[in-house]
Amino acid sequence: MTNGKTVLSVDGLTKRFGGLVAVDDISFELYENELMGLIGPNGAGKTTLFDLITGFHPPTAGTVQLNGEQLVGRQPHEICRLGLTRTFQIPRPLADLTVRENVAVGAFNQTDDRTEAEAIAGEILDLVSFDFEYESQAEDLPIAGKKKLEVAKALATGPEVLLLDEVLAGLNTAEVEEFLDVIEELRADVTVIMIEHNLDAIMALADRVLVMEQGGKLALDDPEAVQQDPAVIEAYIGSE
Amino acid sequence: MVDSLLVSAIINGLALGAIYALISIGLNIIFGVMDFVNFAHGEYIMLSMYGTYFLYQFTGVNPLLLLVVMIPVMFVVGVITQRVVFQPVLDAPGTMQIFLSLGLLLVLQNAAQIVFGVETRSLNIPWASQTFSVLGTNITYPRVAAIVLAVVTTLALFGFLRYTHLGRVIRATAQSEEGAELMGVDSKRVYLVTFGLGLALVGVASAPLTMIYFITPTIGVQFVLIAFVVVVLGGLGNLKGALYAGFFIGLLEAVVSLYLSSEIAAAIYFTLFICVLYVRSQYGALWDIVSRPNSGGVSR
Amino acid sequence: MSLTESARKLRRPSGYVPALVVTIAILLPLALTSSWQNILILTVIMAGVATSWNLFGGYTGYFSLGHVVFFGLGAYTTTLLYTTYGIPPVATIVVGMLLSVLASLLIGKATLSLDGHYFALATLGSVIIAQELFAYFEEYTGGPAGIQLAFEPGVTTLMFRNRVFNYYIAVGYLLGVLAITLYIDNRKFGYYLKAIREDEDATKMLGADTDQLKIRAFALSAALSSIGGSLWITYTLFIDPSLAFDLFRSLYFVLYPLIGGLGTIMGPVVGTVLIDPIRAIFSQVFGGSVAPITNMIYGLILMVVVLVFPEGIVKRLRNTYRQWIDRLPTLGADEGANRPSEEQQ
Repeated sequence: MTNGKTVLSVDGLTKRFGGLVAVDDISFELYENELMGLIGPNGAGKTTLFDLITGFHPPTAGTVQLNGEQLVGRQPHEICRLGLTRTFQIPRPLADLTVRENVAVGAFNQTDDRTEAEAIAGEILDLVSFDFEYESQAEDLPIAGKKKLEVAKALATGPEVLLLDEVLAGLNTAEVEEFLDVIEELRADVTVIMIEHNLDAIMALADRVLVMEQGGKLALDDPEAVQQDPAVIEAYIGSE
Repeated sequence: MVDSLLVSAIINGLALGAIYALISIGLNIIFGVMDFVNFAHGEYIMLSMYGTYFLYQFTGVNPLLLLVVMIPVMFVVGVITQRVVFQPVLDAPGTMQIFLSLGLLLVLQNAAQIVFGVETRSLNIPWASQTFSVLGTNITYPRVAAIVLAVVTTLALFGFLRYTHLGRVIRATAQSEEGAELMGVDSKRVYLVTFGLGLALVGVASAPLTMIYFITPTIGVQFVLIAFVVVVLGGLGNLKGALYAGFFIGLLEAVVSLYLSSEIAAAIYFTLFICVLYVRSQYGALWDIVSRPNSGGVSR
Repeated sequence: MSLTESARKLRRPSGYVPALVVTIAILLPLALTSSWQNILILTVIMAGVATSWNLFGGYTGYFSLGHVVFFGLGAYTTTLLYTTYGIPPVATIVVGMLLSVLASLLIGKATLSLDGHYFALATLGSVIIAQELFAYFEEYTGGPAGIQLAFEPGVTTLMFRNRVFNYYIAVGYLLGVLAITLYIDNRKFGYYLKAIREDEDATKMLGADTDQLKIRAFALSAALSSIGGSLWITYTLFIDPSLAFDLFRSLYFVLYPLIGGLGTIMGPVVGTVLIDPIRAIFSQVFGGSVAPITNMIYGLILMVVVLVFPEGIVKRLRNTYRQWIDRLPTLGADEGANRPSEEQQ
């Protein structure tokens, strides 16, 4: 599934807000075409980690490298241009625009031409099996549509690395199934880190799983090993 | 010579500052608790001044004593305004609230102009021009009253928010509407009270203001802008800060007016205002959030 | 497009209705009395500036309440260069645009990272600052006493004995700004700006340098607003700081697009044309001091719009307009009145 080439390299990433340590000395390597699950109890710092990698917060310490390029200190749009983007936990559709226009905004990361952008948008929407009218208003979509739109927008930017933040939350079983198929297909072209609370999904899809707790790295291993790790079990049961 | 002019400017600057602090207290509460920019705030100041003026004409009672009437009246006006005008847009984007308050500004100011006419009025109270001598300067009674009121009101409000139950409820709602609601607080009620309180504080200012300024329908705009400057400089929701900021602006204006001109004073403190906003937006993490919230979805 | 295709397009209501409107607009002033022409000219200029404002404020969602600063700068630049150095106003327009762009860079740097209401407040503050600065530096600007421009009719001075020409120039300005808006709306820049309005952080994450985009839109909008100021002063011929940097005018630049529909192309024009003449008409019909009444009405309209249809008239009525248009007959019903359209309109 992965050829072992390191695409993203995170080293000692730390974030302190006043006295609170939100992310504590996280380090890992992400390999090309890998799908890494990121799990942990609420408040573990997972989304904050995404914020740090994507440039929304400057880290207190540590570095992030994308194919050798230093990401720390860069703005989110620069990071996107370099090939890394993310979705947001609560979908943020561009409400007043149509679905296609939404995705086109992402596609403009790859082209300056509007016709081309809209064409790319159409392709991406096809790729994710988007079941709703491409010309409908984004704000009118049901939650499943908004979630897919979120992914489609990000994909349209042509990323190498895609950070997905709880894309399955709020979806019913059928929708989850469908989404997992889509993600499975994406893997051929993109490297993914997925924050998820849906552990079944993660264990089925992921090559490796990173477990965070209270900002720190608890484990990083393949799914079976993680599921059996006593410290991980402890963390989950302890927090329920 | 220059010295005594300067001293005079300083003393009057403090009085001016007290006035500025007084007019901004009400705004501070509303802005601080409800995160709501009310451009019509100045119009309420203007209306309360007319109210005090006419009450005095009819009763001849000392405006400071008229506060007993003005304060509750303004409180009620505030509650009604919040209920009728602003409550419907509580969840709307902030800019809609801004437009609504701008519309209200136009309506109130021009209605006042139609009803009261454009002529300037002023209260001529014989005993109000009595002066006290401070450091070789004469300072009039209303100005002293302003200083006293500013300090007393700030402390009273501070105490109210810190030590009374209602005050704590208001502060809790200001920090987090959802959090407060989870604890059983009806945030709409809180906002009604807060807005009423904000205007009641405007009522407090009305007495000294009416004795010092000429009253015209258009006087509201300059007041509201100054009030915003004071609130921002002092720190949103920071009562003591607003008091100091008020004094600072008053002093600045008095001294600049002495050496340069009063118009340029306005330009100066507005520039200062923008600079402070800018600085805070760049280093905002420590201070009240003035810059666009960077809500990258930080999960807790 | 061949001649027969054009003719066919014009025969359909979606073609001939706008064409009719444009024709009326061109011929209108010839049918009006001088005072109505006056209202028309000022309305069109206002529409032009409102559209310029919309290019930034309506598209990005950053409601600048201080656009009159650029309008006033354009007006003062034209005034001062013309009265002091005799430079023909036509040439001064470009200088005014440059100065406005500089001003917008300064103001923008200071304010564009501010949250919604603080941005509004800060831009309002810039109006006060401009007013006071121009009042203070009297020797250079003529101060509160103001400057009366010498009326010298001519093409380069943009002053005309026959107002109709002022009107056509104003219309030209409006059409120019509309064309620019249309161009941008269909391109990457326009998409990005609208995305900023919807969700700035999400847009950053999609690869858009929002800081740079905002500044560019702000500067463009400032330059276009400045032209309006120059055209305004060569028509009204008297300037002082309170007229040039009128706080209420600045609010109207925002009010009209709001009523018409923010971020739409025609919204500002619709809003201006509906509301701006009210003021002029009132004072024409009822005499001088009706300003408070009309302003109060503006205030009420504003409040109603916010409470009832914040999305603006254009969006609300867009579907109604389309339905109504489709019901009109196609001209020359012998061919293809019932033929389904192959061309997309």
